[in-house]
Amino acid sequence: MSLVLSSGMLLSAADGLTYPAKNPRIGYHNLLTAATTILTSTTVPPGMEKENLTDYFSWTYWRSANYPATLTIDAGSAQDVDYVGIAGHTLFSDQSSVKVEYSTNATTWTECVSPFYPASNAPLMFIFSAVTARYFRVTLAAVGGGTLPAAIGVLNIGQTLVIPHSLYVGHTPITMRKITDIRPNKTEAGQWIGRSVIRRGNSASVELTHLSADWYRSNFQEFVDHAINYPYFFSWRPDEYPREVGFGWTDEDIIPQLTGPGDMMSVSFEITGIAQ
Amino acid sequence: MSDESTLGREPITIVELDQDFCTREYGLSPCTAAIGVTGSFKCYNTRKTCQDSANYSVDSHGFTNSLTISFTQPRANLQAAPGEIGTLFPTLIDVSSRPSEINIEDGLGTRASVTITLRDHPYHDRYVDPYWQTRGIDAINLGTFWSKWLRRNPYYQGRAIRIRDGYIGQLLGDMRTRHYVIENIEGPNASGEIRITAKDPLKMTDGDRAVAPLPSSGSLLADINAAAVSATLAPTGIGSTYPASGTARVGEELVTFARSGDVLTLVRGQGNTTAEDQEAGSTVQVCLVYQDEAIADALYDLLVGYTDIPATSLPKTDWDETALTWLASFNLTGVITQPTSVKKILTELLQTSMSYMWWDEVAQEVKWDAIHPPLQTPQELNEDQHLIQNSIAFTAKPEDRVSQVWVYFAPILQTKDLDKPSNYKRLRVYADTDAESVQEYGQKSIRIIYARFFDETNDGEVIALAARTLARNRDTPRIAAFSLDAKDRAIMPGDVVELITRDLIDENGYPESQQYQIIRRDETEAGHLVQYVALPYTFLYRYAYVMPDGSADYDGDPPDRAGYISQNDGTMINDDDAYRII
Repeated sequence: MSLVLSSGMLLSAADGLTYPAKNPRIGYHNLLTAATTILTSTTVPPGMEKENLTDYFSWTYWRSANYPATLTIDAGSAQDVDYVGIAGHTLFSDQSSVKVEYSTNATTWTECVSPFYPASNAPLMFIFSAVTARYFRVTLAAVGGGTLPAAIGVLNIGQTLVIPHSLYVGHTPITMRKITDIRPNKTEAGQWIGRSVIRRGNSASVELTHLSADWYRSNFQEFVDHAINYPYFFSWRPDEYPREVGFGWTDEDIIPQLTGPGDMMSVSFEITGIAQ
Repeated sequence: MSDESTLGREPITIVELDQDFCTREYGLSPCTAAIGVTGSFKCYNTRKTCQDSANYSVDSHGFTNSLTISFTQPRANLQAAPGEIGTLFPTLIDVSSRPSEINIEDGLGTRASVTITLRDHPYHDRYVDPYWQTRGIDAINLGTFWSKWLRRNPYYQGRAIRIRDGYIGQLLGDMRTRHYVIENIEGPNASGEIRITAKDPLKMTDGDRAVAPLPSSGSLLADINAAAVSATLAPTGIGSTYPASGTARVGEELVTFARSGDVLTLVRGQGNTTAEDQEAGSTVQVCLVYQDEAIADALYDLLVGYTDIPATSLPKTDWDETALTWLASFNLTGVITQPTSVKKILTELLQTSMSYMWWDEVAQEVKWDAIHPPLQTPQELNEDQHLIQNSIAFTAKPEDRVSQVWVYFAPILQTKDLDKPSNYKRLRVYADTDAESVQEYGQKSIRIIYARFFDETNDGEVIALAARTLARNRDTPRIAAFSLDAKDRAIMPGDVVELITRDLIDENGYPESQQYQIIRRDETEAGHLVQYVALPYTFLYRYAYVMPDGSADYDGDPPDRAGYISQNDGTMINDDDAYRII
């Protein structure tokens, strides 16, 4: 049931409302870190345990020793889920595809993310119509000549926070705002002889206006509390640009401002992280 | 695959620290540790946390430890080459180096050191704690990575640390790797930073950690007079720590001895010393004796026998070849009569043989070479293809010019005053009077060498020592400093290069290439830019191998490095300068 988002599509969100699929989504809710969740993995080599998926470190990995590579998540009770986020992975370079399924009984499985082989190791965010299930299963399969299952640093499965408004003028997609050191070298005679590049990550400024103060308090504040401690996924326009996704964090407090009449709020924050 | 020559290469630095890590499993035979019996929690497989030290088991530290912890700079694309991904802590802030520097004159040069700055952070211990799944604690919220690591691993000094400078996508084994040993770890400080200081292994020759000979613990049981030919060592049984025979120092007197148990049979007043009455309690110090010892053997024995530098880092075969080619007759004779810094002895040996030693941080070897003409055509470095813009500078070093070499040799006493002319039987003075004339430099510049390991039979070596010193230092050297792109970073200390720059010209202003020897290499921007310092590699006169019997007569244009015997008047048949034997 993997969903291809298209422009104009409407998706229901956790707040009970329905929003266009083009609205920005934040993926911070995560079943894997809930105390009642039980993870089960195929055999892993030392240092590549499944628990590494729950620490939000994109540099500690879960990696199955062999194919089939499967991780099963038992959330303990039925949960609403509309996204899967994957970061710090080697799906592309290790030639693995990823598939996500859900189940209510751990016996009959239905796809919510069809087998997908990305074109790079950039963060991924799969967004789909919400499903309700207790069990989820992530399966990696070899693509082409891949022999070693890919490593995955961060895996989020949960419900997105949908921003009520789209982002337009002034926003730079996180994948396009790179933080890069470029160091050229030229010789005494002026010949160009080399260049080094250091990619330090990506960043994005998100400015949200005309938010209802009630909506902010009921929905956004929980994200703000999460962002003090942990990173999150961000997709600025899921339907048109589903691969323009970042996995990042916010280094400063996110503080809203009341704006104009009618009990409206605005808020801005900076995301720094990885997106390529 | 990415490397130095890849356009848009992405440099990455990986620091690898080797931590002692016990090979046993807690409570599993032969480990007898048990919770509630030997401790209240499981160990962390480190010596500090061990609860059964009798069965603690690690490889000998220094170069073969068990658990490697890796750090790198935080960056967008951390992944290494396919299949090589592991736990790579993205907490590296900076690696600053003070590279080693070859010192042609002093022999041992300066030691390399690096300072590695890391960011401390919360950590769940999974990589460093083999029992994290059963420990039942919330490790990520208890302490920080480094505060816990230092508590569990206080014995880090001397352990290996490596710095790999490579490129994103490059295999670890293909990265340029520098090897050091940990000297100190400071922090975490108020900013949450850790600072690791590491040195090259030749630091192990310093006097505070390596001396030769080793101190002897025995002393005279009773007074002996000047005529005594036997003595007994105290305390009882100490004789077993002495060799069966050898040379020893008692007071200011040298003796040779043969030992049986604690009893020594003595030959008194050796090495020009005088047999004297000696008091009970006087230390009987075994001496280190070189008797016609090949220079390469002496250096090797000193480093293997008296330092913690592993023999695998000493390429003795290469050293023997160097000795055979350039120092074949440089055999040494001398007695070291009391525990002396290995560094000091090494320096004396190297100065005496006009050779030099340095740590090759990439090859992980102690290199040793003698001053000699270049053996192969050096790599050319020019302004068009190699030398980085605005990086070239030349500095004159008039204080390094030498016009006279005084060599004191054949010491009278080995027990004292080895740096005083009055304690030497012989002095040879070699001067370049042309260089001292008013038409040239107009003043003398004297270098004095105390060759304590040369005896009366070493006149030939003294001539070579003086001749090579003058040949190398006759003119004021101009030290070159320049930078190269990482594509040329394979050039290492000790290598000879041919510089072509607008600053090196002949008398008419035409470009004139000159040979320089790299004495310092500093990769100031890892994987991107390398700074070099080089000394002129000039040899006065014409040096070559003597041509074999049957060769064609000298014609003024001999084969490369082909030397011919001159005429009686010291010139060649066409009035060229004669070759010299050094």
